[in-house]
Order: sequence, then C-alpha cells, then structure tokens
Amino acid sequence: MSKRTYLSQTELMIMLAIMRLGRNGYGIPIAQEIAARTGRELAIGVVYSTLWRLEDDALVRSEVGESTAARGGRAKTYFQLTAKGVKQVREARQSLQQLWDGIPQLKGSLT
Amino acid sequence: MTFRRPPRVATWLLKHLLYGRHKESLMGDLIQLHQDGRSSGWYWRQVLTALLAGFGDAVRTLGISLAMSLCAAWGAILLWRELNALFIRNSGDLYWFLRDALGSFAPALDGTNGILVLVWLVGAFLRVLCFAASGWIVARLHPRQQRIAITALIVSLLVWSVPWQQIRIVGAELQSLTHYGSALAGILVGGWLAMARGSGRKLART
Repeated sequence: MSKRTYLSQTELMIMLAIMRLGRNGYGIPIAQEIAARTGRELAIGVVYSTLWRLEDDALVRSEVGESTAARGGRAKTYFQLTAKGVKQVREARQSLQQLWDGIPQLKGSLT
Repeated sequence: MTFRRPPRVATWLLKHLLYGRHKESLMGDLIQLHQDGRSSGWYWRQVLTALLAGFGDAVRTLGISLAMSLCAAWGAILLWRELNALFIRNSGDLYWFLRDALGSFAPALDGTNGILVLVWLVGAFLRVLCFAASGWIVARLHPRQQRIAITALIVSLLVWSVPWQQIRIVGAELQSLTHYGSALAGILVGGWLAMARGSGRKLART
C-alpha cells in the first residue's frame, strides 16, 4: 500500500463529517452533514466511492450495522476514522493553516 | 407505512453493474431516501452517478490487471488470425480432400454447395475455438471482475476490428454478422467456462 501524502477536498470533508457524526457515520448522514455545513450536495455514490478509497488506504474502517425494511432489508455500513486517518486529517489542517497564515487578503475574512 | 418501490430498472442496473465494496449499503441508502420521499428522477440520477463513480473505482483498482488480461486475450485473437490465414490458403485442398473422402455423396452435396458449407463450418469452428480461448484467458487472468473483463474484450473487438478473411458462402452483410456472431459466441462460451470453473473451485473449498 502506497503512503498517502495528501487528501483531496472531498476526502477531507468526508473524514471531517465522520468525525462529527461519531458512531452514526454511514452514507446518508455523511452526505447530509456535508450538505448542511458546506452547502455542497455529494451524490451517495461519490460518498461510498471516496470511502472505499479511504478504506483501502487504511484511513477509515467500516463495520456492518443493522438492516431495516425501509432500506429493502439492506444493512448499513458505519465508518470511523482510524488513528492513521486522524493523523492525516491533522496534518492536512496544519499544511492548510501554514498556507493560510500571513495572507493579508484572507485576514478576517471568516468573521 | 407502505413500501414505495424505487425504479426497478435503475435498481437492477445498480445491482448488476456497480463495482464497489459497499454496494449493498449504497443500495440501502438510496432505497431509504427514496422511501423518505425523494423522486424517481433523483433516484435515477444517484444510480447513474454511482455507476460512473464505480467505473472510476474499477479502473483505479483493476486497470492494470484488466489491461494485461486484454492484451493476452488479444494475443489469442491475433494468433487465430494467423491460423485462419493458413486455413484459408489451404481451404481449396480441404475442399478436394472432403470431396474425395465423401465419395458417392459428393455429387449430391455439390449440388447444394454442401462441401463448401462443410469447409466453412470447419473455419467457423476454428474461429469459435480461438475466440473461446480469448474469452477464457481474459476471464481467468482477471478473476476479480470476470464480467467486466469479458465485456471490455467484446467492446475492444468492436472498436478495433480484426482484418479477417472467411470463405464466402453468404452475402456481405450476413458474412459480417456470422463472423461477429461466432466471435461473440466464442468469447461468451470461453468466459462462461472460466467462470464456471472458478465457482466450482469455490464450492470445493467450502
């Protein structure tokens, strides 16, 4: 497995959403959390495709949950970040922060 | 609460064509959201996006192995092209051999182009055999997604057509149809044999 050196924006958003959701991180809430906080509508298929990629790189792990009649009897898959995933998110934040710092045009733009 | 059934064709496409590890969960999520009131148009858009994303995943995870298996299968097809050229060169001899061997039946067969049809059938058999070999090779070398590999081989054959010869016993349109038809049949038979062998092994292990 090759070492990851960066996260794409979608990957980072999904990983942050998983962290926010705690133990309830499966496809629908992840997409809804991202839509609610960023206004960006991700297709469920894109969410799963990204999660699979992250899982391949051992940044997230999955666990099969319960199935309900409303889902046509299909089980949910819950996702959580691994220690490696948390480290990667932290590193991404640091790198972005270093790029952010000291740019006069961006100072105070978030307030 | 009554169950609102999502579009059947879209669900079928998702079930059979989607490549990915969490296929069942993705289908469950889409069904749940449709059940919660999302429209059929929304469901279709989600399915098509999922299929596209799945295709990207397939290329990412299987690309190299798929390319290698396609190359090997094309090796078998090109080998067949050489064998076929040899067969065409010697088909006249085969015709006379069959004519002599069939003795008293020959005049009756000749009257209906029977011997020519026999020679054509030998060529068609060789063709099916070689394409079956290519279908078998592509499925065996790409065991994780055999259906995708077989489909890719068929598509590649339609895109890069092999310059082939065959004995002409029918019109030009039918000629092409018989050729592609036998090639397709060969690939499907070969692929099916490889898949049947794979599932036989899985059963033996359990």
